[in-house]
Amino acid sequence: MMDLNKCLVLLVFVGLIHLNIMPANAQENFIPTERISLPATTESWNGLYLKLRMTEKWWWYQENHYRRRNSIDNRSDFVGRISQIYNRFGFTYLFTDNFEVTFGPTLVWNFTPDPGNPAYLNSVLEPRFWHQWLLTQAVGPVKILHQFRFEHRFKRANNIGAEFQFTNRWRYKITAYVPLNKPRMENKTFFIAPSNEFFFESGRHITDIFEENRVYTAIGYTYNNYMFFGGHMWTYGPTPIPATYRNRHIIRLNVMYTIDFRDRRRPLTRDFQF
Amino acid sequence: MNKYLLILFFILSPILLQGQELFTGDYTFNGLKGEAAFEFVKGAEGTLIKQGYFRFLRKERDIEDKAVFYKTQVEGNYEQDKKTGLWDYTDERHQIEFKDVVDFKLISELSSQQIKLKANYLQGNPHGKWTFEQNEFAEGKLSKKSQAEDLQFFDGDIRGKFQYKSFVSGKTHFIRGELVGNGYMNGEWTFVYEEEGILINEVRNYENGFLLGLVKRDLEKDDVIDEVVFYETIRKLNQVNNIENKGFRVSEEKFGIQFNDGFLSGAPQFSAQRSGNQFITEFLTNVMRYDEKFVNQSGEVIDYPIHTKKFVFELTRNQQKIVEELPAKFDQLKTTVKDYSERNALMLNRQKSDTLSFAYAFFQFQNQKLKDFDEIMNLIITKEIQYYDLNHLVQDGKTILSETDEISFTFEEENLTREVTYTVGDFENNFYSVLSDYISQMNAKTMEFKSYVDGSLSKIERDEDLRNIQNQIQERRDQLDEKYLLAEDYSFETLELLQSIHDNILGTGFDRLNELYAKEENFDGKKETARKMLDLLNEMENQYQHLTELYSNFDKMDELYMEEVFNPFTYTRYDQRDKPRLYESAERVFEYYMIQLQKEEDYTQIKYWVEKIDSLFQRMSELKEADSRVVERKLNRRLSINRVEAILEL
Repeated sequence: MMDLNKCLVLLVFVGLIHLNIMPANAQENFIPTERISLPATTESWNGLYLKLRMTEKWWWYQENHYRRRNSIDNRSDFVGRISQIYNRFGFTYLFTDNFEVTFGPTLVWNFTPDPGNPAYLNSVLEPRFWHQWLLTQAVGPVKILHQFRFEHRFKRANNIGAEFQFTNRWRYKITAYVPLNKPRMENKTFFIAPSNEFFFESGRHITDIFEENRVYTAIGYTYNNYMFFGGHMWTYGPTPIPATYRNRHIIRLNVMYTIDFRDRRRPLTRDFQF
Repeated sequence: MNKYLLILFFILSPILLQGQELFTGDYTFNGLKGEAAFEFVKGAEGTLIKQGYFRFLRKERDIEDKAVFYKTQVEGNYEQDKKTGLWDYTDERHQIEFKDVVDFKLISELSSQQIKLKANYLQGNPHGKWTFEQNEFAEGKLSKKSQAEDLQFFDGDIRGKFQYKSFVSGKTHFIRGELVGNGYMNGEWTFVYEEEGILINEVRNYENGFLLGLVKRDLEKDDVIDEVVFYETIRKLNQVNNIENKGFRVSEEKFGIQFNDGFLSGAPQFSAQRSGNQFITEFLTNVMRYDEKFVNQSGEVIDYPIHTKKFVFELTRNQQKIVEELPAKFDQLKTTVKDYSERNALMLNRQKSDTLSFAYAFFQFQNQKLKDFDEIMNLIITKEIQYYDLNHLVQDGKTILSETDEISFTFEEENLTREVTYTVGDFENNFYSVLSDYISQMNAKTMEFKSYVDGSLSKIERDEDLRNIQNQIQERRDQLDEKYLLAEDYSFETLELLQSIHDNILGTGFDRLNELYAKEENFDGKKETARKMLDLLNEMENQYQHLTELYSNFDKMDELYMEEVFNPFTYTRYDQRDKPRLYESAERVFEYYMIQLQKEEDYTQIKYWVEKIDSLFQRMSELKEADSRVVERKLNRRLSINRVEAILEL
């Protein structure tokens, strides 16, 4: 089993090298006089997560999200406008029960911020390549997940004639699964899962490498091959306007499903006889 | 080499000169096996008479627990095969707990108990100063557990001051008192000991072997727990002291530590002494364990070096006659009652008539009743009764002489009660004659029932085949009752199942057949029913093993249908139900079968349900690894049991 500390050091080291080799920000320096926080907006994200076991080590990974955001004239309605259709795919290699690596493409459709406005395209495609290093550890009954995710994005705005720009995204998320009705995380377990994720961004046109912080508190339940998971997420991060920050309240509802495609008629591992 | 020979010569020379011989080899001392070396001379007909020094060493591992080791060392002298002078005893019990092996060195923990006794003897009897100590070794520390210093023995009895202390959980327990004359308890005796978590202080007052009273206090709360004053004893002692005693005197015999002036074991005067006496006995067991005269090989005290006294009561010629004759009369009664209460023919044919049913119940009742007479009758048999003040005895014993006995029985599923009456005379003033008369009445009633039973069963009993079958049936039923009701090593559910099947089949079902049997007049018909009863018993014998395995097989099925899974979202491994729909259906069918089995009253159907359950397990075993998706799709919770059985192809 790979040593968790070693992996963390390796990932941070790789990340730092990556940051250093990126070109320095050539944009004009803007020194704000004070920070501006925009009023909170609301969104709702609904997702389906699949993990399909192909072999002992290889899994197919898939996420499909349907995301909406508040109306232009009502920041609290959560579902006023369609926001994104988000599809993430990947192959996962499970090194050990505590360490896995996933890589694959992401296809995101970003919808117009102002439906009906001819100045915007209704939706634009944002392709990405992503890879993720995930380490887990058990602290008593609690399961801790350290997720390092890297996304290489080709993104454009919905404005007519806008050009694709390449950015790299660096994400670290720490999640704790805390079982509530069982001594440990197992089947038919109610749990609470707080998490915190930091987003950093780099790219030729990026002025602020800090992109966002997401604080998410979810409750969930494991039931056979399913896991139901949902809660409230609060995000905080800069906007393209210098010194101006936005924050969002997002309701998330997710269903996770896993299935084992290996040959089920494998020999019995238990000595059993009536 | 020459040097060793010279030493050996010096050691052996006194022995050779006196005609003594030396024994070395395996030896059993007080039931303990070890090795001994001792001097002896040969007596008449080559008998071995120990004479001179004696050494014994025992090193033994416990047969059951190999981590327990015993060591006993004894050293002393014999004179004409009797212990004499100073004897030294050391007895140790060591418990070794293995902890680890590090660099080929064993890491272990030792906990031990040690008894050290120095004893003096004269002509085989304890005589002179004795010291006793008991130590405990735990966590590398040796600590004292109990001690008795300066016990002075004289010709086998302890005299003078008596003090014994033991140290239990940081508290000192002790016995303190005085012994006069030939080891009689005298004056104030104080005990401090623990009973049911309470530290008790017990103070007794003795007068030259007679216990006059005792008080027990909760030492921490200072509450009086028990107080007994032996008024009758004090009154009689005063009469003796004033030479006014009539019909009794102080016995010359020496008695054990339980003072008894005529109390049965249930009397408060008897039971109040129990805890304190147990504490003394515990001490005496440890101290006297090397002398077979005092402690037997089972570790029981059989003779005491501490004594109490008793009064002895005169018996008239007539009373003496009763004491001589009553045991035989009682024994005969007991034998008859026991014989008829266990009589198979009576048990099996009791439903023939209500009188026979009543006779059967009478013998069962009488058998129990006679047990209540045992304690008094034992006093008469051993003649201990002469030391019992009848004033006490009649108070404690009169409850067993009932004037009316209500006896309940069942006939044709109806509960009936009948009475048996006796005449009870003036028990308080005529103990012996009233007791004798009562036993005679019991005898007469027993004989009446016996004659009736003999008359009713004589025809049946004359048929040898029938008699054999009856004996066989009863014997097997008793065995099965024990098997089904006294089973212990099973789960609660299994015990409940065995109980239900016992009640339905071996109880109700068997009794129905038994009724048919009892009422059948024709011998061939009787034999046919008896064979059916035997068949029922055989079937219950055959199915027993299967029945005890049903729940454990269900647990195995449960385990079989659990699979270890890896949850790729929480990154945990755990057991999860495999094919849950299939399993839940099987669980429903199993529960249904078990309910039917528990309700079943027809013994031939027990096998049917057991086989159905077995085939369910078998089928589930097959389906576990088979592609059962089609079967699973058809199953749901709303289906009837019959439908589920059909889908599972049971």
